[in-house]
This record gives sequence, structure tokens and C-alpha cells, in this order.
Amino acid sequence: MTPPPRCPGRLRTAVAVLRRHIMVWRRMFLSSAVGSLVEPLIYLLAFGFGLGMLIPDVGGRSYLSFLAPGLIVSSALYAATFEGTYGTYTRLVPQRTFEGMLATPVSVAEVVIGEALYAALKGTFAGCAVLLVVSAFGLMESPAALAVPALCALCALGFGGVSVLVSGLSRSYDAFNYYFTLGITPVFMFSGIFFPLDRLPSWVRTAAWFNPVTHATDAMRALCYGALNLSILGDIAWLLVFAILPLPPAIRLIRRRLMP
Amino acid sequence: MSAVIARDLSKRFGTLEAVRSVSFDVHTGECFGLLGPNGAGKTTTLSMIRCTLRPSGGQLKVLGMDTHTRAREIRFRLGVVPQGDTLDPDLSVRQNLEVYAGYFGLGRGEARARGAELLAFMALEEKAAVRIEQLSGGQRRRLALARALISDPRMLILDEPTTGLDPQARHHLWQRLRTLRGRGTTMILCTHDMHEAEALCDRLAIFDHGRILDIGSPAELLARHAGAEVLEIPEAGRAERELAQLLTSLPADVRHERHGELFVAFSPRPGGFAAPLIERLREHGLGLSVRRTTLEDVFLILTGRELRE
Repeated sequence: MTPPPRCPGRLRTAVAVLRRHIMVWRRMFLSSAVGSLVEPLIYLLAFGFGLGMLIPDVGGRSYLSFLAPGLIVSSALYAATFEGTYGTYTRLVPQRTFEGMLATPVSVAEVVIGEALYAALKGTFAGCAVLLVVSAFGLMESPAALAVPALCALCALGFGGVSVLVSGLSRSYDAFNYYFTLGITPVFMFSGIFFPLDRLPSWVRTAAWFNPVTHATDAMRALCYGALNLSILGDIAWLLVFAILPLPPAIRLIRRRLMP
Repeated sequence: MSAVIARDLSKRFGTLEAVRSVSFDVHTGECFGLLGPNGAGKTTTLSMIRCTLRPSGGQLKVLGMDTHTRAREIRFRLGVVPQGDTLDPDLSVRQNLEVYAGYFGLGRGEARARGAELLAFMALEEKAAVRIEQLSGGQRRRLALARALISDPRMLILDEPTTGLDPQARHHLWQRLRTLRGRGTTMILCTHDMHEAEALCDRLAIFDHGRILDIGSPAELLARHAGAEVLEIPEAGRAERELAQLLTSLPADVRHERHGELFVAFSPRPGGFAAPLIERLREHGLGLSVRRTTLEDVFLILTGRELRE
């Protein structure tokens, strides 16, 4: 048998890396799907109905309907973050999966982009699972909700990229505790998912503007409610920058780990 | 044509000089061995050849291509069996081969065909659907070699391919490597197993402290450093007087060393140790042996007997 005559291009090898991840994912698809559906359902019941009974309408909507778009965002961001931290680190260190890849034409850039895309894919999937659940509750008000998966992908790609970057810095799984408590939890809580930010002190609102989850949540509400206006373009631009920005430093960090 | 040309190649990690200005050629079609104690710079050299480490200095050409500028193309033409295990534990045996084929740009059909062919070549057909963790050590190494061959590489890089294997598994793997060498595949083998080096290598470079101490075929290295025969007396202290006598009667071209209780002498010619002399020492109850020299002798002569990290 003759080998392929020419070295495959970077796009080809990046796709091969992503295909490897999807092959692995297919094996644990059921457990991951159940988790993605059940967890938001619990949130929705606990916060939406439980807390919702105490809370009057928010901006003219039931608390449940206020909360639903944010739950889509948080599901996407957490799924991407878990994959980019624990998943990526496992392949980077104990499993030496990346080392194996580097004995082929695959380069570090494709490894990292493959990781970020896989995290984004998982995040998108998790976000869509919530979309299904909240749609079943009749909480989607507009056909614009059809664009929800794309928004999930954008948000998950950003958080996937940052998480891979954090994996490149980490020397053990313990380091992720810092990232989750000091990074993810605050951006999750102060993003307008659970309560509107407009009555908070102005410095909090300024800080929240820098929070990608704020923009993702605002854009998600616009899609779910069908309240489209120009500000969604600003949010999406912000998220695009956030999706691209972490990748170059993540590639540099992982390269330093794999090729000292 | 040379498969690898290294000139004044060096690699520093901070203040540590792992490889210090080494020069060597690997000829196309040969099995070239890198021998040396742990930390001698073998794996670092191998990593530079397979383009996962960038040299700090010097020139390195692999298959006619510069490692600085054409790393991807070089990696495309190489098959690597790395030290330890980088098999993908999330995938089955067959998937390991097919996914790897994908990294080299092979299409699905070709990957499947080539994977099946290699499972047969490495006697792993029955394990095709099994997960990696269910494989024995020998099966893992066979799979690692099968995986390295998936792209039909021009050159194989083997970093301690049989470490930790039982003799049967080791010989099976060696036999496969000989088959490949017979087909003209160039090989670079890094090992500190002297039997492996003797069994497989056409030429060897002996490394220590980041330098190459000597390069040659096993026969050349034996002739240059150890000669034909070696006399060993492990408990020389028990008969110092007889030993002193022995020393006066040894031919002038026999070199001898003393390491604590151990006495060793090397003769460049077969039959260098006269039989009556040996008999006399035996009569004094000294355990001694006269045997042909091996690469292990060369190795110890060149790199010393002190323990390494």
C-alpha cells in the first residue's frame, strides 16, 4: 500500500483531531445527554418555581421566563469549561494523548483548536438540551430562538478557549479550584442570569460589562423573547472577540508544555 | 544518501546542557542505535530528530529536510514508538490505528484496510475491539509499533521499544523489527538494553553526559574498546598474591582494571589468557570466568561503572 503522497494541511489534521474527540464522545453520549437535560430541569424547577413564587414579575415577565435564557447560557458555559479544564488536562498530562498526536503531522495549534472546538461542541449540545427543556415549558416566545445554538457555540468557544488556556497553566487538577471559585462562579453570578444588573451600583455594572456571560445572557434574552435590536450586534461582537482572543496564548502555553 | 545528518547539534534546558554539540549520520536503510545511561541525552536527541524539541544550536536534517522549517513534513514521513505509552486509552485497539491514520491524512477506507493489515502483522487481530487498558504490556508495545507503521513511514524512531517486556514478547517484537529492516525501513533505536542493540543495530552511537563517545558497528566498537576476550574475577581480594603473579605474566597488550573486589582484564586476541594461569587461579578457589566480550563491556569501559541517577 502506498502512503498518501503529500503531508495533509492543517485544516485536515484539525478535523482529524476533532473527529477523534467526537468518536470518544459518542461512547459516553447517553450519560452526557442525561446530565445535560436533567440538571437544567432541576434548576428550572428549583429556581423558577421555588424562587419564582417569592419574586414578582421581572420587567413584565414571570421569573421563570426571565431565568430560562440565562440557564441556556450557563449550561453551555459550564459544559465547555469542564471539557476545557478536566478533559483537556487529562489528555495533556496523565493520558499523554497530545504527545501521541505530535508524533504525526498534527501540530500544537491543531491540538489546541481541536480542544477548543470540542469544548464548544459540548457546550452547544448542553445549551440546546436546555433549549429543548424550556421550549417544552412554553418559554420560547419567538422563532429567533432558532439562532440559540449559534449563540451557544460562540459563548462555549470562548469559555472552551479560556479553559484550555487555564489547563496549559495548571500543574495539577487542584489548580482548577481557583479557576472555578475565582473565575467561573463570579462571572456566572454577576451576569444578569439570576437578577437584573441595572439596580446595582454603577461600578458593578461597569465590571459586568466586561463579563462575557453578561453579553451572552443579554443576547440570549433578545433571541428567546424576539426582542431584537442593535445592541445584540454589540454583544455578538464582544463574544466574537472573546471566542478568538484566548486561542493564541493557549497555543503558546500548551506548546511550552509539550515542546519545552 | 543519509537519512539523518546532525552537525554540532545541541540542546539546553535553562542551564542544563542535555546534548552538547553532537555530530553523526544515519544511513538510509540501516538500524542506528543510540546507547547510553539514563540522562545521557539519547531521548533529547531523538526528540529533536522527530521534531518535538527544537535544537538550541547546530544543524539537523532529517530525510533531507531541515527540522526548523519542515517539521510537519518530517513528522509526516516518520513513524514513532515513544518511550512509555501514548496509546489513546479512550479508544479501542482498531480505533487507535484508524484515528492515527486520520492524523496522517489517510481516508477512512484506506485507514481501515491499513489498520487490518497491521493488526495481522502484529498478531493483534483478536484484540481489535478491545480497550487499551485490557491489553498486556507486550500487546501495548505491539500496538504502538503497529500505530507507528500506519503511514508506511520512511524511517522508524524507537525509544526503548521493549523495556519491561518478557523475553517472548521482546523476541517477537525484535523479529518484527528485523522484518521491517529487511524491507529497507531506516530505524533509529534508543535503548540501554545491550542485547537489543546487539540484536538489531548495524551501527551505534554511545552517549554520555550529552556527548557521543564513539560511533561504529558492534564489531568495530568491540575491537576498539574491549577486544576479544574478557577475564573477570568478582572476588579478587581473596587471592591478592596470586593475582599479583597473574599480572606479571599477562601479555603486554592485555589491559586490566580493578573496581573494588572486581578484577577485569581485556585481551585483544582470542586465547589471550593462557590456560595454565587460569587453572592456577582456579586451584586457589577463585571464581572466575573467561568469555567473549560484549557491547556491555564496551558500554562500561566508555561510560564507567559509577551508579547514575
